[in-house]
Amino acid sequence: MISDEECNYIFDELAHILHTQQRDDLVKVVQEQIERLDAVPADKWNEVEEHFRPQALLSSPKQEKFGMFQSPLPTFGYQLAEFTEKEPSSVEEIDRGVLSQYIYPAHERLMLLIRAIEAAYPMPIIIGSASLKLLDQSEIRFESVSRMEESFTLSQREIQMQEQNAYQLHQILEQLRQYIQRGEKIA
Amino acid sequence: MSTVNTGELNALLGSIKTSLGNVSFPFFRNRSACGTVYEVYTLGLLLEEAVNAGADPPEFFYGRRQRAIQPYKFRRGASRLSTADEYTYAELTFNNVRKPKLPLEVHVGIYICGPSCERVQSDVCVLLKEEADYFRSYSSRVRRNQPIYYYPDARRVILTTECKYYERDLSSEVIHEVIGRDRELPAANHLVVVNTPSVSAGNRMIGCFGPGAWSSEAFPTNTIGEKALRDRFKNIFHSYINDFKHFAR
Repeated sequence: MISDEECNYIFDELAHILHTQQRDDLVKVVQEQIERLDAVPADKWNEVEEHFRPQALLSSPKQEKFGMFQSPLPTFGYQLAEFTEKEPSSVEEIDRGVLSQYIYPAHERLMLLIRAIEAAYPMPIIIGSASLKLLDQSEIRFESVSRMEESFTLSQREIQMQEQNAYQLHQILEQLRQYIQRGEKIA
Repeated sequence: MSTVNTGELNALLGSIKTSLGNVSFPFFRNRSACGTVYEVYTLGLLLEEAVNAGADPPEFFYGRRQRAIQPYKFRRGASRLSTADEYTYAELTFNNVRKPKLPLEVHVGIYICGPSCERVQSDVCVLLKEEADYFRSYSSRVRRNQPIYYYPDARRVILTTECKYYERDLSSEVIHEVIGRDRELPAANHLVVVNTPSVSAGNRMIGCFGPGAWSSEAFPTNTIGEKALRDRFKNIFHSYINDFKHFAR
């Protein structure tokens, strides 16, 4: 896998490209997932707990003493509690920025951005084309039931013009993924 | 940047920049438009797998059994079933199975309801044709000692599908909203179809409704995700064909 530095470089480059396309929203979507930590599965949270909790406890000098006594006196325990009051004892107390960095390292963030680009650019066209084929239609009309959204027509003719480009972009993004994963030259 | 072949990387980034400019269908800049197309893609897969499971090839109608002509028309958003609407739906019959079953209808973006009788959106909904027929003919159903149903009863729904086309993993907020909605609907099957992995959301959904209620990374270039979704649909129709209910009279 390529280094964090390289991942950050590619992330910034892609963000810049998206900015020129007026699609900063895609970077924001990724940032939202990273910052809110609202899509993290339980096993990852558990990993975070295991990663940060021992560190936090070991960083306390009192904890070392705690380890020396198999059965600490209650008063000692009380002192320990007082002493470690400002130390993080659960992931909730750890700075969110630190957590985000751990849960979504540079490589992961870059992968999220590539996925967002794929979902926003080539995939709707590929899905649109698949829909036309599945229903054996040359056109599908999408009618808004309220005035809040616009109606539109998806036509085979329009989609065909872009389908090849969509698949090409999909392949380039796939190549970029492979490059990041393996850190090898692109074939 | 020591290990990076910058020339090659820059060529790759240059290709992405050029390609982004070549891939632009204006309506797809709108997330909800992508979501609606994703619903119709899901409908297409569902119909194919219904046939693979034993249903007759689907027929398409709108309003009160008027045969749908080109182009098929689907809702952006949701509305109630009515005779007047011009939205396309599919009818599935089962004449060639061992014991003929009641016909089904498949709709995109309709309201159904559970015991509360409050409307709940179903993105791709498979329900008994007789239930859909009733709500095309009457605006409500009144039963003794029961609240008035203005929408098809979820107990007569074989499958209610929630399609989520997002650029990120589903947040806990979004999936909790879906779970709450599905909990309200006593449908035979619930399914969330999503284009991203959304592992956490998947665990929540599976925890509440079982593994059959979740299908992630379903899109045409992902053969594994698409096949899993197809298999799920096929199983649902197999179950319908082989259950001891819903026999055609």
